[in-house]
Amino acid sequence: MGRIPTRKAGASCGLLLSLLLGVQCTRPDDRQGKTRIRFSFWGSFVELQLWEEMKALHEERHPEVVVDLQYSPGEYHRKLRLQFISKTACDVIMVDDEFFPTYCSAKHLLDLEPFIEERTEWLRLEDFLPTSIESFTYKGTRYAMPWDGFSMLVFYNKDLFDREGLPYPEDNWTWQEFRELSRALTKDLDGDGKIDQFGCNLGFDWLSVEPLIWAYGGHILTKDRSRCAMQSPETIAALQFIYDLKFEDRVMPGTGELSGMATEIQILTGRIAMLQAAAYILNNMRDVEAMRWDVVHVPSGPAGKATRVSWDGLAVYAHSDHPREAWQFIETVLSDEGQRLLGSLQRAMPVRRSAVLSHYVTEDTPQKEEKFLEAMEYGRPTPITEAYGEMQIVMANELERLSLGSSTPAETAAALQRKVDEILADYRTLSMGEDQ
Amino acid sequence: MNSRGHWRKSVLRNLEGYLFASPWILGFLVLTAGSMLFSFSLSFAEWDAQTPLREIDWVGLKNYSEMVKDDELFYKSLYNTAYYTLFSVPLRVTLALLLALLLNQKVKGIAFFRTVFYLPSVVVGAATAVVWSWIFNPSYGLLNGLLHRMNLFLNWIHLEALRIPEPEWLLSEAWSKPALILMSLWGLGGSMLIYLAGLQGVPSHLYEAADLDGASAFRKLWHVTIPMISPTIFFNVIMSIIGSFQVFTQVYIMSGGHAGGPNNSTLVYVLYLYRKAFVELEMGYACALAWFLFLVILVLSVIIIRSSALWVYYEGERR
Amino acid sequence: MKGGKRRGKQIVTYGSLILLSIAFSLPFLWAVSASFKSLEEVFMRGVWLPMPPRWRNYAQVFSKIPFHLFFLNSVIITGGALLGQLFSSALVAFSFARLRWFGRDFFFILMLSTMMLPAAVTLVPHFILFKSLGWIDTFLPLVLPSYFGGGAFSIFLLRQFFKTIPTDLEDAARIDGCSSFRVFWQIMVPLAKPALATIAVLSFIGHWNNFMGPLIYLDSYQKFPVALGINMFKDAYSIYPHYMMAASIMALVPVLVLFFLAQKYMVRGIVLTGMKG
Repeated sequence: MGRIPTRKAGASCGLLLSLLLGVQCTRPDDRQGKTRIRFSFWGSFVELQLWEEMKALHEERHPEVVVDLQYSPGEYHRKLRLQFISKTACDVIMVDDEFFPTYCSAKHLLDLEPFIEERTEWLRLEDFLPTSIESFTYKGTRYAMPWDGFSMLVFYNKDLFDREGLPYPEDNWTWQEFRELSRALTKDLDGDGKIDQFGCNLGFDWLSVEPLIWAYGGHILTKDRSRCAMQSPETIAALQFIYDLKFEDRVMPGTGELSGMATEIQILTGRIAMLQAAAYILNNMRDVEAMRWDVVHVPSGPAGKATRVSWDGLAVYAHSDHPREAWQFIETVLSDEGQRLLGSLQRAMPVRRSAVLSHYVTEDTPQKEEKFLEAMEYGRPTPITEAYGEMQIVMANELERLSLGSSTPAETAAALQRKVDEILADYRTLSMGEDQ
Repeated sequence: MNSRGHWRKSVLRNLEGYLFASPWILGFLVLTAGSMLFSFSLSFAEWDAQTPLREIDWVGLKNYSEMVKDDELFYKSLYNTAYYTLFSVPLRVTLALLLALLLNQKVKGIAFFRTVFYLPSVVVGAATAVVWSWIFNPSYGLLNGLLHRMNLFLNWIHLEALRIPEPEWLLSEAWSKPALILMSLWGLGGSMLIYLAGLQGVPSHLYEAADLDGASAFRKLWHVTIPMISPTIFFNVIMSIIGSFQVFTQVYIMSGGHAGGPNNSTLVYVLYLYRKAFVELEMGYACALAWFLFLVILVLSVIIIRSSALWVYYEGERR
Repeated sequence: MKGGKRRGKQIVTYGSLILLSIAFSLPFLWAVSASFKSLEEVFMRGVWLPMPPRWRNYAQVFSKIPFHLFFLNSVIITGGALLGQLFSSALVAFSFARLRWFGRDFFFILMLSTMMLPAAVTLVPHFILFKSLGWIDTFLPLVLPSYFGGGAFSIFLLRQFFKTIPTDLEDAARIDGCSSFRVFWQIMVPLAKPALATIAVLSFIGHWNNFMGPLIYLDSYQKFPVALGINMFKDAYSIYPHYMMAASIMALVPVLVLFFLAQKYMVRGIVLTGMKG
């Protein structure tokens, strides 16, 4: 029956407790007299490394400042909101477009206009890519600075095109041509009755559907974002296009057939011939030897070309004790050196055009990064309001029904119009830029 | 002993009880009671979980009445959760017991087998999602692959009539909950372990006596094992019910967030609550939902606890 | 006749064990195989074990994130919490199971009820409390609560176990003048070893895999436990399943070791036959 070995237990308890206390007592070199600013961000280990380098860069330029990194490998907004409630948010806060209006209306972010006015000369706002600064303007005031972003283009698997003897898509192609190519590329390779190779895989979620709606001349919300604008023939035509691709032409896999499979994998494994994806995946795609691929501009619809762009920003906490030092950190990120660090990662695109040209677009790879830059000209950000949380759920529900064939495009548009209007009626809205 | 002596004895007795229980009582008062009160009061307010607390909007019973009168997702999520609980609790409680009985034998390598059965409940969250999406994938997944092969076999021996359906699992409204239930059964390891521990406490002399009386394996199970481990069964039943009503993490990672499955078929109650609290930023409403759930679970548990007097046997009972 | 019957029983036992094991371990086997693949290979059909297996995935986990640091942190957090939980829940369970005191049954139901409120609503008040204590970015919110009862789960489980132990031993001890603490420490605890081992394993897993707690309370990433480290292999746009699986499997090793060790305590308790009469 073994008695509990008291001495051994006691010794290991003691060791454990002292380790515990030891960890608590160590503080990362508490240099006296230095100003500490905290910076919260999300991402994977790749981003962690990036920010370590950025921190080193900043501390080199400002030796009296120490940057404390606060990394959240998940659930970033949950933690951020807890910090807002307890007034412990970091001095520099990474934000994206999703909850930006919500945080602004709750007055968590500092008005950056004074800092922007007295900014250092090299920070030329004209150098910023289009739509980036507007993405972080709330009611005419800038509350965050964009620092990176991405646009989306069509990636395609060259090997599959070669196999079918099809010409590669040209930049001036249309959605109709896209459709025909998809049909030609959808095949049952091993004759078992199940299709193994699909022409394309356009999502039915809000973010995937909106570029098509724009390409057809439709809009998600009205210009002042106070009402939904989806009940229009253009929108219905766009939804019909995707609907037909799935249910009539059957060039897309069934819902979730490829669930869990990351975008780049879908192309890499040859299951999908053409995909809309962000420059973000370039990093993973670059090392691939198994197949040849390339990017091409998004096809044009009746109203021209449209793609989605998205920006990440850096804001200063409204209750920060060191707003000026926080702004300085933002400037470091936006400086040539800072943007170079970002560009060399080749994931998201630096927000300054000059940095993109010098450090993001390289000649080493055959893939055309400059196309992502060109796409910025016809890219638009998603229209976000304070009602984003609720609206997102409604959009997901209705579009899901469309994707399952439970409703028609006309019904979906009508339902969305009704429900989104209801939600927006509860909120005051922002006014920014053209119709989204 | 005179009455004063009795009184002293009982005071000491009570003090002792409190003393031993004091770690928990202290922890409760400091940590838990406060947060329970906090969330209870919040259920009578509207708050978006980020504006300062003094700006809360007190609305009385509005959350509760809206919940019961206007909210169809409230009922839907209750239904989803009840469905899930109804199937997974009995399955879990009985299957874990059967497994534990199987693993309670002194065969060689039993430790290895026990580990294998315990393993699935241990893989960390996000990794689980990747694994299970692969298993349940309608076209390329493991499960449908197996079913397909079985169907081919049935075809081959001309028993097509017995064809097994190859459902879309998590992507079909009808099969998404069964998929979740199946997934939860893989996590049996914990319950099984508890049963195993309980089985160790059954005195062997009872089995010997039963053998002498010529009892069959089944009778031994029914008349010796089960009564003797009824405290463990009681534990597993209560914990399974509490756990099933609060199922969240699995569903959250499988839906990749707050989505809730095709037509909200896997929108379980706590997922809906989470969505209200952290996506739609209606913390007060979420607290109302939480306390309703609390009430439901409490009532159910009390019923089971009261009934336990009838079927749970404590060898060391001293009333 | 007896030999044949036993043989038959053995075959059935082993047979069902092996079949079920295969079924149960499939998800795990997939995870293992993914940990040896390159990024494209992970999603290719029909490839179970790539040749040659990419052992370097495991090494790369360490080069991409400070995994050894995370491991140490996990050990400290989990060990610290486990210690507190085992000891304090046993004390409290003893009180519920064997001592008679006023309000005991009420507190028992109250204790159970603490499990009935979803964590989502207690997150905010807990955070505010720990923030006002100044415990943010320390291990304290993750470890210290375990010393105050260790959670309703363990208390409830141990209480059930203590109640199955016959009262004869305790009565005898008390007649000899034993204090409650000695009864607790020298009779109840040793007899409840299977239950304690079970709690040790389950609690270990719970703390080892805990994601939300460390995420919310820890700011400096050098203090992260393994559960957060594994999540560093994915973000909103990409996921690295091969690294993730390699890291997850390495994280499993202590769990398995503990499980094996705990088996030693899953033995039949004291044979109490002699106690009757």
